Amino acid sequence: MAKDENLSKIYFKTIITFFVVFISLLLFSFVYSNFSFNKITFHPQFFFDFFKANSVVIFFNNYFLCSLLFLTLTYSLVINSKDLISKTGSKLLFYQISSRGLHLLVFLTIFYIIALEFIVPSALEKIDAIKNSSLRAGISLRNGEEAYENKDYVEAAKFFNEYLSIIDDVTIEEKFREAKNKIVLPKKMRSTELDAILKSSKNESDKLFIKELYEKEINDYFYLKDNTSTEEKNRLWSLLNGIDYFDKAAPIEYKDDGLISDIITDYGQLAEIFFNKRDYLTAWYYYQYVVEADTAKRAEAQNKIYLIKKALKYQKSDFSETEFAEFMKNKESEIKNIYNLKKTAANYLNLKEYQKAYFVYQDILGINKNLRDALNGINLSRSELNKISAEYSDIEKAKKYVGKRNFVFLLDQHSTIYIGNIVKTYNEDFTYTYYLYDIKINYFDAKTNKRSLIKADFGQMKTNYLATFYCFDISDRNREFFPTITENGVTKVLKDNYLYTIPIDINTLYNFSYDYEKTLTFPIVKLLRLKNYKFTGSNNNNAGINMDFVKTAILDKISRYFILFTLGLLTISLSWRLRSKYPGAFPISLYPILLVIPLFLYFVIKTALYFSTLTFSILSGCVDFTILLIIAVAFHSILSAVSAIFLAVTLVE
Amino acid sequence: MKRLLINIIKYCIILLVLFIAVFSFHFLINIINLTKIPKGAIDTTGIVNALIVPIIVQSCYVALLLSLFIFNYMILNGVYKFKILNFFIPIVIGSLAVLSVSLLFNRKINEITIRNIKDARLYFSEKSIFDYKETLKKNIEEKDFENNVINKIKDEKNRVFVSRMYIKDLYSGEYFLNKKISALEINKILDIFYSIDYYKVLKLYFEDIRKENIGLVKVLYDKEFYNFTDVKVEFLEDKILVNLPGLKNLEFERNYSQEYSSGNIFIESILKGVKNFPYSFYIFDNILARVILWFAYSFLALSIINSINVKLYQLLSVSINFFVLLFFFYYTYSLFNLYNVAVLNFIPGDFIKGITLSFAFIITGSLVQFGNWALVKTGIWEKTK
Repeated sequence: MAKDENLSKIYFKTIITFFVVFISLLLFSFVYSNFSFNKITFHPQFFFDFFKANSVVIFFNNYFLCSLLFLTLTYSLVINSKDLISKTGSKLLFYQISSRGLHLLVFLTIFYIIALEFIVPSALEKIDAIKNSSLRAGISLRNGEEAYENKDYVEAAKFFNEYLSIIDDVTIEEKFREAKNKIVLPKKMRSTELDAILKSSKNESDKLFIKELYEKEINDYFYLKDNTSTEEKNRLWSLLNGIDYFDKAAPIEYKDDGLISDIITDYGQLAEIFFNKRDYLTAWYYYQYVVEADTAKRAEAQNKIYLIKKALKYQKSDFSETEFAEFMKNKESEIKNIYNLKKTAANYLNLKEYQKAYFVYQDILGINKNLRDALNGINLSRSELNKISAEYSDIEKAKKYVGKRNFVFLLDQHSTIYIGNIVKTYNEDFTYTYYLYDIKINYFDAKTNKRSLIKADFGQMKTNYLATFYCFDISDRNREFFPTITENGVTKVLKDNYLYTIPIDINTLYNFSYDYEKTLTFPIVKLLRLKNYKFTGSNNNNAGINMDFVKTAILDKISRYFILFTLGLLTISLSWRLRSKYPGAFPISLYPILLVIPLFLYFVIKTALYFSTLTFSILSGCVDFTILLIIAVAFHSILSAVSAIFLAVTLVE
Repeated sequence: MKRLLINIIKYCIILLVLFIAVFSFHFLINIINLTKIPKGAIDTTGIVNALIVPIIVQSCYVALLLSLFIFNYMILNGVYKFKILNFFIPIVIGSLAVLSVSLLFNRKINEITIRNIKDARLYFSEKSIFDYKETLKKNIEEKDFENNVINKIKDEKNRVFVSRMYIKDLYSGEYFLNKKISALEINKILDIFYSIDYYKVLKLYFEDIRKENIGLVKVLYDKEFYNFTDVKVEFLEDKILVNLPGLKNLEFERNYSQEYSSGNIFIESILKGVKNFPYSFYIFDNILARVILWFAYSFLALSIINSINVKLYQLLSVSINFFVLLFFFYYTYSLFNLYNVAVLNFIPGDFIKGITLSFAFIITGSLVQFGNWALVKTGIWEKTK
């Protein structure tokens, strides 16, 4: 009974020490996390998210030390000789004294594994995400304010909108409202334009709202009602912004009014439809085509053209004869021009010169924006351009983000690639795009002499492996950037050869680094996947990237779990053997000297980890991974067994 | 007397176990690297001289110092009879071990370095792109420093930091790197220098590494690629030189390839210092001087370790003595070196130098012993305990 009393006292002391140490660590993590919040890197709004994630990281960074400190304090200072003297004089065995500590050590080791495999990586990811959001918010705010100062209110409102989608900020909300108020909303719209907007609006109430605002119709134009309130203006801006109405750049996809089914492609039918819609000029263009291409329908088409001319004459009844003749001459010449331009555009499409085709189609739509084949042509050109090129304004925008510098890897045995800067931008739909800057590819001959050099100012990853080094400006047809090749001192522009396949997945390349400490934070499963990573087309040289450090990290991580357990066992037995005699024996005035103990433990842990990393880093370059894994597990198992024996032979007195 | 004999055997076992442990670790991480060299190309006699002998010598000295620490706690603290005789067990046996090793392998300081194998395959990894880290300039010309360094650093904190690390010499006008700079500070300055393009990014890729040359070196320097074939590798005392004609002379530390840091620069720098410990006694190129020096040195070390003895809380003594041990490991080489340079013009010959230093150690050790005895006798030491 007396023995049980002693044991309960010892167990109680063990549990109390455990809680005191780990609650102190938790408090330390909170305090340290609070002070390590950097307002420049992280937006103050994310303080609590950062605080939570960072506290978790700090807690587990010091977890190893605190585990050993808890065992040391428990068995060398807290449990003392007095606790062993029972009333009956019966003797306690060491396994009884240390059993609670051993249970807690097993728990601490398992929890350490769970933390390092699941909790810490997700906390670090969270901190990274907060950093990215803060960065995006900072850039949006800066750009918004810059645009506001330059009185570019459309741009300012857009940037403020993006900022507000990340951060709740009353001041910026106010500024955003001001910017929207200063935007000149369209006072009038053509019916086709209004129809297109209505079609793009998803919500019925939005459609009704727009219709109400533009209900006054004069000569096929719908006018914005007078005395529009600020709230109405704001809502209208949001709706128009939502459908990219204010985009200065050309739309991703050109649309007609959507009243004609996409299935109809026959020119005769299209001509008929446009004729019935009273869009005589478009109908004329299609009938003219029928006249020239379809002998069977020629007469009918000619008759329709005659009717169109009469209808136009009627429409332009206020014109004098000379003016009308001039008007008709112009229109005929316009149609001829459209035909010529269409031929040119089709020719460019055949030659796969999509940028040129795009701008010619834009010219055609400048003359008549309802031409179905021109709309199809421009959309096709744009879609093809999207597959093969980067857009200059996107490249310029991305420059404002922080990227990573100086990437070098081997394309194959005879070529090496350098990318000065890679920027990863996040899109609104949470996808991302990689932009490349200052690219150089060197080709060498078999004797390793420089054969040629390909240079490109800009590039963009189109897929994870495919990069384009061609860039065009959608607002300037004369601005195109092609890679150049220099061979034997002669430089040529590579107009046909700007797509390159890289041997490394861009995500891996971008996130990959020899930052060993960072690699150690990855879960083992992820590290195993990374270890087996195959570099495509790299002729067994792995693109010049040495994966030995991933092997080291796996082994090092497994070792860390073993080391915690082994050092824990050793700490229990050594602390007991070197324990304090009884409470009060150690003068309180000398308690500050006790700080040497955690410092000693810190050095012991760091030295053990240093030798673990050193050993595995050297061995991973020479020994097969599986053999090394077996050696590591076997070695640590033996060490744990020896420590357990050392613990087992520890005597109470 | 029987107890004394048992303690002698115990100490010998401790020393042997420690020696085997240190030797095995050294052996494993050094020998395994030899697998990088093709079988036929390994010169066995060369390996014994360049690797096995240095490992034995180094392991011996490391084990001897560690054994003092362990002997103190495992044996000496529990001895009450013949304490003085027991005290001298590790000192005498250690001196005999030093004598044996010195007689068996009579080498000079440069012959006991493990880095002695002059084979590039051991020090570089093939087919792996890696960053070349510049060595920080010790002195920078005034204009160069002000125009290309200070004026280009935008961050005020960094500018102040670099200005503090480079101190202007009023006579020459040059800026000299602070001699007391830590490894962490060196890394920080290097990062700043790279960020302002004062140092250009240099990446290397080696292929076909042979004993004293590299078949193909691919270099990215200042954003341009260069290829070099059959590049000669020169081995200096603790450095490896790789000359890229017309481009740059590269300088590497002669360490086995560990291309990444273990993350704790502070611990790394301390352990690097510890590595120098075995060379300390070879500064004096005389067997007898080395033996006497070890005798005196171990007398001093054991006196200090034994004096730090908080009987009521042994763990505290162990913790404090751990740092004392680290101090001995870390500073012995610098101390011996400093002494050697300081007395260069006053004391002729390594033997006399060694004896003089030993004498100083014996006196210091005796003072420590006397102090300990006096404090205990007067009761002051007891009170503080």
